Amino acid sequence: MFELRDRHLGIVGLVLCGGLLYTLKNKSFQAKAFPIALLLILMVLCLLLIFRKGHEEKYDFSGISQVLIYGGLFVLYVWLMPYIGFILSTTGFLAAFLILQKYPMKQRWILLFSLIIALVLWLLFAKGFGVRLPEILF
Amino acid sequence: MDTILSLLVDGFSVALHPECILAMVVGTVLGTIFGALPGLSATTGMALLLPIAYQLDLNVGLLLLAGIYCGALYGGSISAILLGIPGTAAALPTTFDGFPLSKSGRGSEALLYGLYGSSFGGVFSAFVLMFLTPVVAKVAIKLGTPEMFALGVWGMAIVSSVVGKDWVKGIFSAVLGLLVATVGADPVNGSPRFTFGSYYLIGGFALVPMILGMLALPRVYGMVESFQSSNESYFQASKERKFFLRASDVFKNIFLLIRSAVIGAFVGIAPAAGPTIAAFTSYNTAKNASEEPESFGKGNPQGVLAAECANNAAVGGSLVLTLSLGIPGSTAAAILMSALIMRGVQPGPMLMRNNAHVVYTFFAGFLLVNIIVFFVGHLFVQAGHYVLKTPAKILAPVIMVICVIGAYSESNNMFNVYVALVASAVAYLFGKAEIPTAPFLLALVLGSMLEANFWAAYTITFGKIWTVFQRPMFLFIFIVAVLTLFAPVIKEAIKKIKT
Repeated sequence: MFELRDRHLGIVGLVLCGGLLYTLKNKSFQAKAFPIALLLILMVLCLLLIFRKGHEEKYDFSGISQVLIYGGLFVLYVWLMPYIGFILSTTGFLAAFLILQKYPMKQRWILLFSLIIALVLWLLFAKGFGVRLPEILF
Repeated sequence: MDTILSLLVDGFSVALHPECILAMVVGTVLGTIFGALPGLSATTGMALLLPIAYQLDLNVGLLLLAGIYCGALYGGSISAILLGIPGTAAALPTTFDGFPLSKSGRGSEALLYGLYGSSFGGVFSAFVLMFLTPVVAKVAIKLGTPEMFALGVWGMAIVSSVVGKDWVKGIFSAVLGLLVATVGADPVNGSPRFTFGSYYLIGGFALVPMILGMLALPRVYGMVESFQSSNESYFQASKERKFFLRASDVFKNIFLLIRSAVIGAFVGIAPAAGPTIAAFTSYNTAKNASEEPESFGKGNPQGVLAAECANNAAVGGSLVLTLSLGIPGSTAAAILMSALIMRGVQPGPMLMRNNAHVVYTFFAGFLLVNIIVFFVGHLFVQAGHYVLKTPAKILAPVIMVICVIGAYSESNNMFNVYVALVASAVAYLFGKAEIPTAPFLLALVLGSMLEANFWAAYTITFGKIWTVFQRPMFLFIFIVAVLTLFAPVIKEAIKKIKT
């Protein structure tokens, strides 16, 4: 599914470095001296990644389907939080995570368990430590 | 000396009052919790309790804040060891060996090593505060921006020990970290770089979301990957439940502890990044001095001891600056300083003369707080045992939620959560490409300090930057940095000559 090697990484790195160098063209000497020096070193390292011998093996992405599923759920959770608030979004995220994993617990208990964890975290951080979590509905 | 001793006796007699002891215990417990929770820190805890400290008697209030400060520094090691999430930047090197120990079923033991290292470093720094404040203050005042730059270079030289097997990828990671540290306003003119019009990036990337994204979330993705092979547990079952370390386990590492504490006390003088550089430097020195350097990073308890001892010993250095010169060595020290000023006590060169009793009560209390950390810490070690017993399928989403809260709490906006999310995707790819994240994070911590101090040194030398080599302290630190950079090569060469 994914075929990524050091040389692909090096090529992407080179293109990014080139683009970043371009954004510095109108900056003062003090503003661009450090970043330019670093970008040039990075470009040399990218060239090494592309052309060196003996490092042609592919990266192992065997478990990526799981990471994509749960990572996607996590992105959805983070995206929804400002709209529906911390408690609802966290309850939904925890419940969905546990249900997707087929956690050995009845669904209504999973929901209750998720709600309790969300409430405990909210009380601890928002009420105890003064962190102003997103509170649209709660 | 007699005066110091009599002032200390008076200080202990005040600090041992029941209300002072209660304040220290409460402060230590709260501080440990603050330090252990990612995103919260000693600064958050001290800021929250500052109004309460103001209502209390001056000595009681100061000792409450000292308890939070020391407790939080120790607390940072708990999440670093149990979950691989450093509660503070200074606990970053603790994760290198602490987390592998936890994964292999030695979590309680790792927590105990962290606790004993922290307590030893803390007690050492208390003695530095008590007896060497005037001496350390003289050294501290010689640390100008060129020396701060040299300290940053020393910190970066440690990259040589964390680059891993593939040096190209290790250096790639470190340089990328330095580049990310340049995002935001440049330190001379305030001209924005790589901000792409976002005002959130003017101040650069905040450290906490980056640490959570680069270290904590990829560990959760690792847990999620392990769910596929359901027979395999992410954390191995604990082999034995440890309540204490044997005296022999501590004494066989006594030289390592003393060396780490000395490094911590010296490097801790550097404002802001002091404890972080101290922890990395000490870890690196322990690795180079070890007969089994290859075991570091795979679960060597000496790595935990060295890092934790040094970052706690660094507190003394930062407090020396705060109390004797009126220069806060860290944000937490700045809050302590404001607590003094609010009560009409002015930190600075005249503090020892005008308010000697307050200062020596604080010194005595500071020693007691570090002893309390030792006792209270044993309770947290046992609580940590239960964290590791939690099924990974529950632990993984809860860690994700705590990471979100940690990143959000940095500035109470979602931008930092998005930063953590993107950083976690980059770190996941780094993991697949076998690019180490430690050099990236080390460079990120030190990058802005390096650049700002370089330009400050450039300005004070009127562009003749090479003249900084005429400063003895700069030269000393720079030589140590070069030796640190080439230490693995030198050690290897000596080994070859011997064989």
